[in-house]
Amino acid sequence: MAEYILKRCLALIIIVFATAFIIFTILYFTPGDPARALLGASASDAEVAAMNEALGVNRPYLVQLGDFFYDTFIRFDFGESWVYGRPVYEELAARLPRTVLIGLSAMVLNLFFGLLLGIFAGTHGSKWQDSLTMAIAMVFISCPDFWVALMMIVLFSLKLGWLPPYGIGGPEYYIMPIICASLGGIAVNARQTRSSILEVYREDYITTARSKGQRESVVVRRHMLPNALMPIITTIGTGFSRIVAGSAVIETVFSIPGVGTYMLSAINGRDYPAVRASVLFFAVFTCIVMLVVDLMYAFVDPRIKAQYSRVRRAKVQ
Amino acid sequence: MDNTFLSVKDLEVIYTSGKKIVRAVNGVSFSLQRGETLALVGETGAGKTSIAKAIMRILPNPPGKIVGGVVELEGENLLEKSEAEMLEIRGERIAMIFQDPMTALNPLMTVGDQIVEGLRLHNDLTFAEAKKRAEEMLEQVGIPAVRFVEYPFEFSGGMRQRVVIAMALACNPDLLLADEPTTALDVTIQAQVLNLIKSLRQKYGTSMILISHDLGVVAQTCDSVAIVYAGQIMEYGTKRHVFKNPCHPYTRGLFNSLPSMNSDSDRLKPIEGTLPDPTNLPDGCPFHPRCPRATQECKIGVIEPVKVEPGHICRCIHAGAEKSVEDSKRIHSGEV
Ligand SMILES: Nc1ncnc2c1ncn2[C@@H]1O[C@H](COP(=O)(O)OP(=O)(O)O)[C@@H](O)[C@H]1O
Ligand SMILES: [Mg+2]
Repeated sequence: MAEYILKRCLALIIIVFATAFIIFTILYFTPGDPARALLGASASDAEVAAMNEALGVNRPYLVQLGDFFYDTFIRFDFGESWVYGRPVYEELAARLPRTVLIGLSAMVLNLFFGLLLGIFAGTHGSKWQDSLTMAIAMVFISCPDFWVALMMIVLFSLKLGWLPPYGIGGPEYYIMPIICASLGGIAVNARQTRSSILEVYREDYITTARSKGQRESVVVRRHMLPNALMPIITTIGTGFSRIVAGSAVIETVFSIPGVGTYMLSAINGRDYPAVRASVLFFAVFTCIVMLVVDLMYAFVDPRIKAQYSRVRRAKVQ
Repeated sequence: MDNTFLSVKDLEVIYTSGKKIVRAVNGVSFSLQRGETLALVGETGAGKTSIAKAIMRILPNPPGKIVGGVVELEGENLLEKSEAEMLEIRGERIAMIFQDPMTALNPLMTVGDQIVEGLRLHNDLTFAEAKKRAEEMLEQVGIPAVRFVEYPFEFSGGMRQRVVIAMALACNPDLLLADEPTTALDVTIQAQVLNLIKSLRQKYGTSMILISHDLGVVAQTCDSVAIVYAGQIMEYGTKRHVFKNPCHPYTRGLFNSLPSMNSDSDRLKPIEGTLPDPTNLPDGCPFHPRCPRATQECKIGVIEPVKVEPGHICRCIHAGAEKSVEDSKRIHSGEV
C-alpha cells in the first residue's frame, strides 16, 4: 500500500511541474506586450520599455523559466501582482477558502444526490420513475451553468427574495453558487450510477445471491450496490475537475471573489504572476482530490489492494 | 408408490425484449426420483439454463417470465408459492451451480463470507459457527480452510467452481441444479470437479439435474437423459435407452458429431444448420429445417411425444412406435 501511495504522490509532483512549465511557456509566447497592457495606450514607448525591463520579461526564456521554478518551488514565492503590486500569495490566501468551500461542497452534493438518484433510477429499471429521473438529469446536463445560475437568481433572489443575489457574507451567500456548481455533476453521476447498476443487475453473482435464498433488498444492498458503485469512484475525480473548470463562471455570475474570478481578471490584465499562481492552485487542488479518490479506490477494492500488498501475495502462493 | 421427488409439467418460459418474444422453453415435462440424476443435454441456446432458473424461480425478471406449467417439489407446486416461501426453498432445498465460475462469485466479498451468507440464511448460526461450517465445506471441496478470507480473484477457475460447489452444498439441499458446471474449465480440471460433485451428492443423497452439452460427461454421471432442442424435450429416457437406442434424428446427430475411438470413419458429422430463431419458431417439429428425415408432415401442427419403449419417449413422428393420445397424456403427467 505504501508503495502505491508513494507512486501516486510522485505522479502528483510531476503533474504540478508539468502544469507550471506549460502555463509559463504559454504566457511567455503569448503575443503582445505585458507592459503596454499594464500602462495603457497613452504610455510612451520609453515608459513601456522601462516597465518591461523592471518586470524582467526581456530576459531569455530559459532564465525566466529557471527563475520562476526557483521562486515557486524552492522559495514558495509567487511574486507580486503586476497590476496591484501586492504579493500574489496574500491575495490567493484570502480568496482560496471560498473556492475550496464551493468546490468541495459541490463535490459532496454531486456524489450524494448523484448516487441517490442513480440508485433510485437503476433499481426501478425502465419503469416510469427511471425515465423521469433520467429525463430531468438530461435537462441539467444540457443546461449551461451560467444560465441555471441566472435563472436561480431571478427566482430565489428577485422573485422570492429568499437568498442574496450575489456577493459574499454569511453562509446564505454560498447556497446558490454551491447548488449551481453541483447540478450538472449530479446529473452526470446519476446517469453513470444508473447504467452501472443496470449492468451489475445482469451479473451472474447476483443470480447466485438470489439462488441462496437471499432477500431482494439484501441482494441489492450487499451484492449489487458495492459492485455498481466501484466504477463510480473513479469518476469522482473527473466530476471534480468539471466543478473546478466551472468555478470561474459560477464565481463571476455570483460576484464571488474567489480564485476563479482572480484568474479571469489576471488574464484580462496580463497579470502573469497572478495567472500562473491561480492556474497552479487549480492544478494542485484537482490533483489532491484525485489522489484521495485513487487511494479510496485502492482501499475499497480488494483486487487493487492486493496488487500492492506483498503480505497478501506471499500468502496466496 | 409415487416416489417422484420433482415433477415438471408443460413448463413454458419466455423473454420479452421490446416487441419481440423469445420462446425459450416450450412445454417441457420431466420428473425426477429422489437421489436420481437427470441430464439435460442440448446446444447453447436450447433453453437448458432457463429451465433450471425457472425451477428456482430466479429468472431475471424482466425480461424472463414463466408463462405456464407446473413445477412440483414433493407434491407442492413451486410456481404457486409466495416469494417469501421461495426464499426458504432456494439454497435450502434447491441449490444451483452456475456455468461460469469466473462470474458466479461476488468479486468484492471473500469466498468465506459468500458461503457463510447462505448458511446463515437457512440455519440459526452465529457467524463463528457458520464460519466453522464453511471452512469444513471448503476442506471438503479440497480448498484449505485458511483461504476462507480470500477474494474470488485469488482463485483459479477450477478453484472458484469448487467454492461455488461448496456454497451450493453448504445447506445440504435435496436437489442440485448443476448448469454446465465444467464447461468453462480445463479438461483436466473437468474430471476432478465432476468427481467431486458425484462423491458429494452420493454422500448427501442429493438429487441432481445436470445440464451439459457434453455427452461424455452425461454418460459418466447420469441415470436418465433429456435431449433439449429449441425449448422442447426431443427425447427422454434412461441413459441406457437413449445411449443404446437413440430414436430422434437430433439425438443421433449429436452422437454422430462426437469423435469416437472405435469408429472406422475419422470424419465427424456435425449437424448442418443452426438452432431456429426462438422469436420465430417454425411450425411443426422445431428440428425439421435441419432434419435429414423431415417430411411434409413434420412441418405442420404440433408433434406429440411418442413412447418408443417403456421409459423412453421421443418427439418424432418417424420414431417408429405407435402414437396414442393415451400415451402422450401419461407422458405429459411425467410418468414414463
Ligand atoms: N436474459 C435474457 N434475455 C433475453 N433472452 C434470453 C435471456 N436469457 C436467455 N435468453 C434466450 O433464451 C434462449 C434459451 O437460453 P438459455 O436458457 O440460456 O439456453 P442454454 O442454457 O441451453 O444455452 C436463448 O435463445 C437465449 O437467447
Ligand atoms: Mg446455459
